[in-house]
Amino acid sequence: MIESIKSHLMHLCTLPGISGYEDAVRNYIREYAAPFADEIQEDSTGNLLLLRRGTGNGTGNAKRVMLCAHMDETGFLITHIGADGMLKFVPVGNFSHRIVPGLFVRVGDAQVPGSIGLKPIHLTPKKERDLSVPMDALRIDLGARSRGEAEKYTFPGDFAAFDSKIRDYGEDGLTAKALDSRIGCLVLLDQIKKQQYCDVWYVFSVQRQIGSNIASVIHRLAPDFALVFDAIEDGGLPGSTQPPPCLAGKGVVLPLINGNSCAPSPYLAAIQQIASNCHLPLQCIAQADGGDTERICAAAQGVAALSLRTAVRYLRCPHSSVQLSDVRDLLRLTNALFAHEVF
Amino acid sequence: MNLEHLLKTLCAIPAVSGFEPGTADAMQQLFSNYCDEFISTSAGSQIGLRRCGKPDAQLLLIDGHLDQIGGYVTHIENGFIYFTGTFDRRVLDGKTLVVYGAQPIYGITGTRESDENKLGKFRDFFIDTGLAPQTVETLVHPGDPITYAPDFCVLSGGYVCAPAIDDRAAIAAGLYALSLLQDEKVGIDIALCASAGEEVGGAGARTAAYALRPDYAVAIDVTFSAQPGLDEDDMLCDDIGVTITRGPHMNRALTQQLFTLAEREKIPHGIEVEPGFTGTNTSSIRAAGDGIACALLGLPIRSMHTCVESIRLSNIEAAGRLLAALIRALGGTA
Repeated sequence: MIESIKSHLMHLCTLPGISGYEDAVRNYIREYAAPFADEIQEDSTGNLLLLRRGTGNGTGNAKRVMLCAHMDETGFLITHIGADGMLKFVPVGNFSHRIVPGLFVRVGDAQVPGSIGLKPIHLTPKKERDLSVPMDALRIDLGARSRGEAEKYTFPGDFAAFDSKIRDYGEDGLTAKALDSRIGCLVLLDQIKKQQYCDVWYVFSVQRQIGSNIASVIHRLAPDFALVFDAIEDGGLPGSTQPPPCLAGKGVVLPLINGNSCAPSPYLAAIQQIASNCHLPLQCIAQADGGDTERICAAAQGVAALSLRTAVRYLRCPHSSVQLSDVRDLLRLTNALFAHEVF
Repeated sequence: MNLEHLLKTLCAIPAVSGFEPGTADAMQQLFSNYCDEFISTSAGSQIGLRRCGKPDAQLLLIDGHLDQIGGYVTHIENGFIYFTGTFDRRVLDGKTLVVYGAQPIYGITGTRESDENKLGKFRDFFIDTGLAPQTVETLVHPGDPITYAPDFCVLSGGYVCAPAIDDRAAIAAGLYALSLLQDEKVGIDIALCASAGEEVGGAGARTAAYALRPDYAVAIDVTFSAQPGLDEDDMLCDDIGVTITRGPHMNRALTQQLFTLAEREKIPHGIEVEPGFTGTNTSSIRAAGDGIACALLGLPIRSMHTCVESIRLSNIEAAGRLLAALIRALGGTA
């Protein structure tokens, strides 16, 4: 069981899914989840919505709960092909430009390998050697040495995904790209296999990195409650400027406030009680970024929503890291919440 | 010979300057198909010898350096590994490194420098292995070497990309030359030296040349090609083939012979000019013992001293073919 969670997460992370180009992730999820779904919808921007009807506990009036995870990851878009065959690019989503020189990438649907080099330090003026390199000074190299040659492989508007080898990390963790979104996808794919007491909409959303349109999903589904699975930056690295709000390996993170939206207190109390009863570690923190949770709270007529987070290091970077104990705790807690009919 | 596979194998052998002796087994295995004898020197240079069987045969030394840029653990704090070294800090943030402690341990780099426009000093960079602090303390100690993770990527157009192309590509060129001569008898002994310590002064090449006393030597090292950010008119493109360097440190007759052979064999090549110290092992070898006639071949690469050094495999082939031509010319038929 443990091994299969790990290998499934690894597979999800290999799929490319830059914001707006989530096709590979969506196709995989759709195929995987379709046998469990009573209804499947896909909206015009690519949000994937799957319904699994509940037993209703015989009332015939089942609640509509929405579980939400985003599919997209950070990466690049190709903006220009130079006469020398080198590709100019811009970032999609938020990450430090310091990590960009020296990356391997995969360009476009065909996943053409490329690398992002840097002019040698020997030929760099002394005063530049201590400064990070701005992204517009860098290019993606496919091995093409003319525009015509490069155009055989790509065109402006194609995406470039991080090409990161997935590796073990510590005793029981892994490093990969896209952990930010795929842990949530993993939880939803695990849950959809089970029929719950309530109707559950499994929402795999797009474009979280650049401002999603989850509001239109709320408009469409009008759920009674939404639970969002997302990641949050671990605060335990050297140089962290504030005291660590949460730490990888210490259990599920439950923010009391997402952006400007307070989580509904009855649910908070229930989750804390159940985690405690099940001996699952829970890190309650005052505030996290808003993300889709905040957007859901403010969408349509307003929907009660909260988020369960996994503490990840180097969030949105090519080599993010996660402790798998946190993922297992998240799966257990989610199971327990449904078992206790919290929603 | 599958050059791509050979280069990938070579690039995955960890040899930060000072830790070359640990490569002896791996290098002996790679050399064994093409060499009769193997010598591992105290400096850490790994030498394969191919004898022609002729008494008093002359000896040609082919040198490519074995060591790569890398790091050394300085201390451990709360389980995070701090280090110094020859890495280019502009590339270091967010990369996967391997720390060779009691066992190889992978980790991710971060920096304490909070200003995104700056990098921080080496002391600000740390490696995060995800292991418990006490486990790190047990497995890792100050002085342990560090390399980039040996990830190897094949691009289009015959280019490949990896850390340690500098200077494993040269060793690959030497082995490629010997593979071309595998079924030929040539009347000269050949020493292929994967030399230690080039990045820190060239002691491995100097001492190997002193011990071997070759009649001729050819050093091969990577050289700068044109690439984005460098638009100087005098830079060669990285699809030029092999370069032959002219200048005071290179033996003129041997250099001229290489040009003649390259022209005759139609081997793609370019000319480089070095007016003094070459920054390669040539400058160490030429002054060893009584002095040795040494030439310098260059392999144009991009992004030198990063984890994505890139080279066109045909450049290595060109160097190998030129070396094979030189060996035939110097040795005649046995």
